[in-house]
Amino acid sequence: MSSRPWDVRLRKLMWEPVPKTVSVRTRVRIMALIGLPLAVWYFGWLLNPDRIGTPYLYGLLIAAEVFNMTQALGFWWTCANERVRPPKPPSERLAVDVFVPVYKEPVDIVDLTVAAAAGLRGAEVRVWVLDDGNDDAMRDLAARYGVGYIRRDEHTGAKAGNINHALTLTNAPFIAVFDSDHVADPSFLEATLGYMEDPYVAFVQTPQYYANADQNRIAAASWSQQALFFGAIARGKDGLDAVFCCGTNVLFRREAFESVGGFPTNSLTEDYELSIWLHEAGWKSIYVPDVLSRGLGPEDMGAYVSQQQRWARGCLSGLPRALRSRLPLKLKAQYVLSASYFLSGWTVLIYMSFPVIRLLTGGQPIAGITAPEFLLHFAPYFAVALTTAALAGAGSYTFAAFALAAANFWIHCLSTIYTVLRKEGSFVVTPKKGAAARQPSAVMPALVVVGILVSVSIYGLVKNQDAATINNVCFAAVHVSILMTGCWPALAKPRVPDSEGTELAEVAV
Amino acid sequence: VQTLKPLDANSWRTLWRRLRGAREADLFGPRGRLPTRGEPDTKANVALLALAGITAAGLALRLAIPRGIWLDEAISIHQAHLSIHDLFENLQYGDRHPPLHHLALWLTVKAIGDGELAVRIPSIIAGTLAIPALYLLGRELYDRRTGLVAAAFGAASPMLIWYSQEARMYAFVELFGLLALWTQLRAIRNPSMGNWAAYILATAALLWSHYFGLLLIGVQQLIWVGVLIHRRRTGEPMRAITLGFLYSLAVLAMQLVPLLVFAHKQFDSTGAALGSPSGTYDALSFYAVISNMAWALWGYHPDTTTQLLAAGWPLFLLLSLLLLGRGGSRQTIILAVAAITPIVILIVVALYDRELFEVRYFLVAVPLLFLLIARLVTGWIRNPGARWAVTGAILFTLLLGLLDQQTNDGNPRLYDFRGAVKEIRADAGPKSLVLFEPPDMRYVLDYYAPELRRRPLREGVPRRREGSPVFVIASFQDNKKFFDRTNRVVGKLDFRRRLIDKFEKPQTKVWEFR
Repeated sequence: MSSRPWDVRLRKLMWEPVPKTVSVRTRVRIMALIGLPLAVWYFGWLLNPDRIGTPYLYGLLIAAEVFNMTQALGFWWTCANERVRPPKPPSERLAVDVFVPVYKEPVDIVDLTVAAAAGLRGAEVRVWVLDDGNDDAMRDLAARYGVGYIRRDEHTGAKAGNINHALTLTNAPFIAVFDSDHVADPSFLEATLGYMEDPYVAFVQTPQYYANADQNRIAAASWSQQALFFGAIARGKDGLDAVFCCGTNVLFRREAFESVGGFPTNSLTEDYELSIWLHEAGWKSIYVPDVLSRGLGPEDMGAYVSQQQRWARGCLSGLPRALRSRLPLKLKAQYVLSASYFLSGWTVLIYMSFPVIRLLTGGQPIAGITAPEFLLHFAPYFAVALTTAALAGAGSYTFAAFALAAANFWIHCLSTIYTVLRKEGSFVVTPKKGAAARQPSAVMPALVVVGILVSVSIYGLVKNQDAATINNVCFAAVHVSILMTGCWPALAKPRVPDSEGTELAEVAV
Repeated sequence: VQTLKPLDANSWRTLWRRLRGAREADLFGPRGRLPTRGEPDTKANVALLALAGITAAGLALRLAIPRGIWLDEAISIHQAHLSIHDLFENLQYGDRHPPLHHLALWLTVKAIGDGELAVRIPSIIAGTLAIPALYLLGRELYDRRTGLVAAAFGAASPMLIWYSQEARMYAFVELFGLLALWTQLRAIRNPSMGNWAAYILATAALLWSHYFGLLLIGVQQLIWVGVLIHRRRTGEPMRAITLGFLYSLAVLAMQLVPLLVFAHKQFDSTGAALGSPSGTYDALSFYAVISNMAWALWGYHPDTTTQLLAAGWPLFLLLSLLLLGRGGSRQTIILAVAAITPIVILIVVALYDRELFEVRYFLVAVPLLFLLIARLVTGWIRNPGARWAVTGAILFTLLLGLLDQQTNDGNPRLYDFRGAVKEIRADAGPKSLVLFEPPDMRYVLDYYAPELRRRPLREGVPRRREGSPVFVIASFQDNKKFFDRTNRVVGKLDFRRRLIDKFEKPQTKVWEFR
């Protein structure tokens, strides 16, 4: 039993991954039918050379808009192919090695993870704590639960190296991996192992659920981003047979693992590259949308930034690999779409720069048009794109999630630069407990941009009070509102978690 | 395997609410107003006191009327002076509105005369009563706090105040629209005979106030259908609601028959000519839509101010982003549909007839928009201090808009006929002749200067012996026909007589010739 008096990971689920009414597939297909002509209507108008204002700004606008449209179309395409798989129990009793890789995480966090893993039903389960932190307390923990414990002499390749090492010491035909904070549902294997009866399936991925989403703002917003991915997007990827491994809550076939030489150890997002290898080798992947494990999301801005930096660096460095891959076009497109999401920070930077440049220099991307004319073409497309995201997420994607992503635009920009310069990155484990103090330094780049936007707006208003100035000041105000919403969790005093009134889930302990 | 017992069976719902933001109680279940996030609602007696204060303040703002009677009001006052038989004849063959407000005005004039304040009393009463009606609707949908904030916004709303000060039917539409929705929600929750009767009466009053009341009534029928479908799905009792709905539909149909006959005669008689002159409109543009929406919230302002308000459209992008992840409440969806549908229908209609897209025609949506804004404030802002600050800031902008609307001569809806006629009367003698444009201006002159000899401009230039001095009073000069005719006659008079004075009042021009 966990040493904590209570644990958020024991609570009942607060998320219904699959909408009970109209399926996401139908919703998005209807919206795409409306949205596609509107996208053509907008871009047909925007790409007319008569619209060119300041040429370099127009070029930037087109680049940003084309990028966002590509992402939107990719999102529609993915979600329109949604597949909802039911749990599939195995028809025979099989052996499964369950890996819990740890690296200096608090023992009380890992405690419940190991306890839950030891109680998995539906297979002959052998749990292994893969300790890369040389922590004796972890060894004691493993002993307490009677599970296996593996410690390496040489700690190379981070989590990927740790798992690869364990592969050499274990022998079950299937391997389940849970991050140190992920408490497995007892039915995890009963829901996933049945899919392994197809000999071409390499792995079965399940959602990465943040049980602490109501504990603080960061975890809530970060979960909201996750919910969209592990909801509509992942089910859509499954419909396109393009699910990629997310590193935790996943069941592997050892044979598939070994056929590609295990996890790549030279990547920050080893799971993304491993998936490419497996798909290139002809293996299949499966996504079961039921929440079969409960984990902890980042609880402070530092942890969130660290996680996003790792994902952005990893995916962007994997982008050339995805482009070069020998995969069917739709699979390749799915990998490229996922990785290129981490370029979207650039579009935020571009949009934020427009009111600043307009108020300082008068330059603007589009010229010779009226606001009503712009709105007539842009507003319907924007409305449909936003509504589609809302409908696909079934209400789970929130403004706070959007704002958090926007406020961390700089991570994408910096990661792109580092990737282009081939600067080495290091694997940093996402901290599992929140900081007790405010963390303004974690959002400093966004705060600097807020300062610029506010200063330039004041300057613009002092200089001129016409409708064009008001319009650009309003744009700046929109950006400031979004950035400040995204930064707020780092600036506000951290809240003490609420431990009262918790309905608990069934967990094997 | 050990199963850990739940500590609190309902806690996950509370947590889910926190995660999703403000989740209101189920509309169609038993009355279960928020407290969201465990925060207690405003106490009943405190709410009552606050509502009394807000209503009193709203009444005071509505009684402070700086402007005189304008053309449409003058027509209504003229009709109110007729016998009841002639009033209906006049309405059937010379108007395009149902008769409820005209009857109320007729009774008012008979009871307390036709002074500027007297003829506006029915609208002032209706507009003031709309404040508690807005509170009741807000309370019924959400909670007392939301009702109070909405009532405060409604009390200070420049647009609602403007039409509460006009001797026309729009304040009736506002009041009966709110009551129709409120009584409908009560009938859904408790389909008692009294609630059904109240709903049917409120809907009838709305229908007989203005034909555009049908827009909201149509939305209400959709709400009934939605409720029935929902109940069928959830297995809740349907009989009382179904019977009540069918009965109300039958009563509505019974009213529609005579009303449609009445309307047919009206539209047949008035043909292409509307009851009152209007400006020459450009085709419906996004700017027209945005400026009308800005007017709906902050009142009428000169073009320059409206352009500045319309330039704030990027804030709507922010609002649409803020709505992400906020959906799910049936109350808010119903409210949004009731507020937006009439506007959208009028936008579509205005693609064919631009004149029909005007704030006054979707005035019924304005208090609903304020209720939505109130809900955003009370539902989204957790900190009570911040909630007060945002409510105060919104009220401040409304009062600023009100001040500008009521005092700025550039207000495009301000027609200072009273000021113009006053100056004419000061210079007029027994032989004076007043030429007026448009023709319906005669009702204004009937009201303010019944002793003056007058004739419409379209009857041509008077001969020298027909009178002196000759005054020309012209308005609605954005209408090309009126502008051309005024120009022609003034030009001829200028050629034949001596121009001795020329002045302008808001939306009114006056020339004096000898």
